[in-house]
Amino acid sequence: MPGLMQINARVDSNVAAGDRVPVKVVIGGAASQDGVTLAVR
Amino acid sequence: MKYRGALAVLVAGMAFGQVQPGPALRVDRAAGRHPISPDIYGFNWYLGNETSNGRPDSSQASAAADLRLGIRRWGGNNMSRYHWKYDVWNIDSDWYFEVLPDSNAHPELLPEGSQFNAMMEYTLITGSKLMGTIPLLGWLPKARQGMCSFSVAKYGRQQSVDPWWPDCGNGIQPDGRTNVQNDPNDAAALTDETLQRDWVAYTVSKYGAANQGGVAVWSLDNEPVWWSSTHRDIHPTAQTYDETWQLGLRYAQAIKEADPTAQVAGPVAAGWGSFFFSLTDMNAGWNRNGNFWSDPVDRAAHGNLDISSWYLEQFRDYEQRTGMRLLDYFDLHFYNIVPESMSDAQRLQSTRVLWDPAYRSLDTYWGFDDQGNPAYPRLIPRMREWVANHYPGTRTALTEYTFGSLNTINGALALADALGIFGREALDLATLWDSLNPTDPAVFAFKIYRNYDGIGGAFGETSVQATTADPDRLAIFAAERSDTGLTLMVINKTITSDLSSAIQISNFTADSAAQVWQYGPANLRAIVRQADASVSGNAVTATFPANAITLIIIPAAPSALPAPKPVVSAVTNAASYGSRIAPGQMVVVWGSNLGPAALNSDIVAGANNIVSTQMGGVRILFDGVPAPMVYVSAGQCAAVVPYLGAIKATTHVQAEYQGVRSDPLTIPVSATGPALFTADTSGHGQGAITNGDGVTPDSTQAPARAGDVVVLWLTGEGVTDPPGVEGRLATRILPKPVGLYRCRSAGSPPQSSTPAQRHTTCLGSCRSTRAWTRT
Repeated sequence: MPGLMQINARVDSNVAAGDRVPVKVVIGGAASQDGVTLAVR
Repeated sequence: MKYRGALAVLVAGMAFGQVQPGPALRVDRAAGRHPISPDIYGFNWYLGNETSNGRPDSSQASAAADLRLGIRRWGGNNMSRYHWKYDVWNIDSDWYFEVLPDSNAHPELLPEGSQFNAMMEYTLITGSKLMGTIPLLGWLPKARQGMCSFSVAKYGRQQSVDPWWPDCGNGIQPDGRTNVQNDPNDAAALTDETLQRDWVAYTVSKYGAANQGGVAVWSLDNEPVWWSSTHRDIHPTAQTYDETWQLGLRYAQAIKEADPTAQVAGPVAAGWGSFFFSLTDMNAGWNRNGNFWSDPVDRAAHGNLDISSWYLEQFRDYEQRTGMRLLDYFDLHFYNIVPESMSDAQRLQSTRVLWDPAYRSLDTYWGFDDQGNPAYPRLIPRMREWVANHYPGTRTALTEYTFGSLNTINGALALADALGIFGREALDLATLWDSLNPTDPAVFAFKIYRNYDGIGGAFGETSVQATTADPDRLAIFAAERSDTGLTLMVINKTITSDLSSAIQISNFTADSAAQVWQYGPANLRAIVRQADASVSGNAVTATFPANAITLIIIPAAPSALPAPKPVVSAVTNAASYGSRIAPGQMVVVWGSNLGPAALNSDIVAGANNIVSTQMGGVRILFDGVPAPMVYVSAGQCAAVVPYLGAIKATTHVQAEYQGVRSDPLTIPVSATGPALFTADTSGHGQGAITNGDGVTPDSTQAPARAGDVVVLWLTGEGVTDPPGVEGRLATRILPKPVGLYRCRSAGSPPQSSTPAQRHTTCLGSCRSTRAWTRT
């Protein structure tokens, strides 16, 4: 798919577990939107 | 859609002085239709301000992109001697046969960071494509070090030496007549086609195959007729028929082995005589009779065919034997046409050499044919006849040409006339050779065809018949545009007279008003929009100022349009629906009449893995550049912002459905605008993230574990390294964001990349190899 970027990233081992752990990507000083989450156990 | 009848264009708002009657002009939209190749709008190398220390300056990319060049050429004398691994060339007879490495801070990384790579990447980010040059002579610089072919210490005193490097002579004895005999091993080593095959393979690995945005065309060396003079230190003997073909064959095979989609151009012949003879022929004539045509010994040994015909037939016969086309462009250079002393009027008339069977060149060299009779070159029809008669299907290219005086309005008019002729006569590729600065009037000759309004407005893509009763007073070219408009380019060549002239336009139903843009002495720094022209019934009147180029854009009448005019109301990030827009980002374009009522999401990609810029009759354009399409419907479409269309602070977005184009919507553009896709496509909540197995969607039912690798999907990374290619799906090439990036989640510190670590992110459905680890 053009315009689609993939990032493989390791979840930090110290992250607090939860159903809605906020996640962001910053590129060139600009951050992705608020409110996107990741479920971590 | 039907077009019928004749209509009139009355150009209003122009400066009327002593207006004189001009020749009758006629345009017929239904006649003479054929595509205009975008590759006729090209030039060699860079504009004057595009380089810094010989390398392209990215701060100039926006201005360069404004020219919308179809192609740039890396070529010329020195490129016969370029060693891609060392990134050096011998400057040949242009400057004392010296090799002078540039000040590359990291030569150990070569070929990464080479001057060729720099030009390729700059060409990509300015929205063009590259034509490279493959050296055929074998002898290339033996190392990346300063050296020269005619050392005074070794060969003794010479006619002249480099004042900055007195050990390097010009290879001529002090008597001024006798060449110094040298050992080519002094400054060169003999290579073969294997080295060049490896170069092409390297460029494919870095930039993709030619049909995937890589190097588009490769020239087979440069001007073989001058090899024994320009490069006499390594090739002292006169060019022959056989070596021109044999070298071309070997190296074209190597190019196609490494990239079967690459286009090959040859013989890159240097001037009128070399279109008919080898240098061996011409030397024999000069030595015996003082002319180039009278003793063609080499030609006589090759069926008495002129060298162009013979060369084409060798490649034709090769294809007939093997099924493989090795030569794609019949490529010539034309100089020696324009005497330096010609008047402005003669310069404007001299463009007739390109097409007019009644025009004899002013130049004495071009003034005679291969039998010594007066010559009427009509160059482009002649080239097309050569191809038709000796290797049908081969395209035509003029990769060096000029009509001179590019820093004057007179030179700009001549160039604009030539560009119009190239399109009308169906030339396939042309690259201007001359020193060109960004403020030169000739630059505006390109711009008025390619981007007259600064937001992608261009002369049409389909040539239609346009005739003038007197091409030396008013030249006219016409083309239909994809948005169904008709574009007319009129050039006043009278030097002194404003002309009022008739334009008869047939088989086109026009709107009531036409845009008028003009470039001329009134303002040599800009193409200026004039008052709109009224289009009235059957009246046919227009006025054209002296020394000006006038572009008229006539939209089709609304009643003649096949669909309602689209309206673009907003553009948002496709993942977050935010307003931050960046190059390479997937966006949603919102509006009405954008496309078909039913959703169409069948992404079309060719065998080259390039996604189509048209889907269901819909195109989305950013500053006139069509965007790769993701889905379309009447109320919203998704597309990918072109890298070219968004390198300015703002871009102008238009939707086009069934050829009907919306008005532009102006939006700001940022360098980057990352946004994560989400599981429910709302832009909020659970991210579209897969767990470490690469398959299972992350969710509360299947959460990731701390320390696991997860896969995030996003858009908006901005400009990449290597530069992105519009619409290219993931290949082995994994572009990385230029912008420093980091990932962050609650409770963990930011994970930053360093320039050396930027391996984790890539475009398309590619896989990265580096995990997100704490640094």
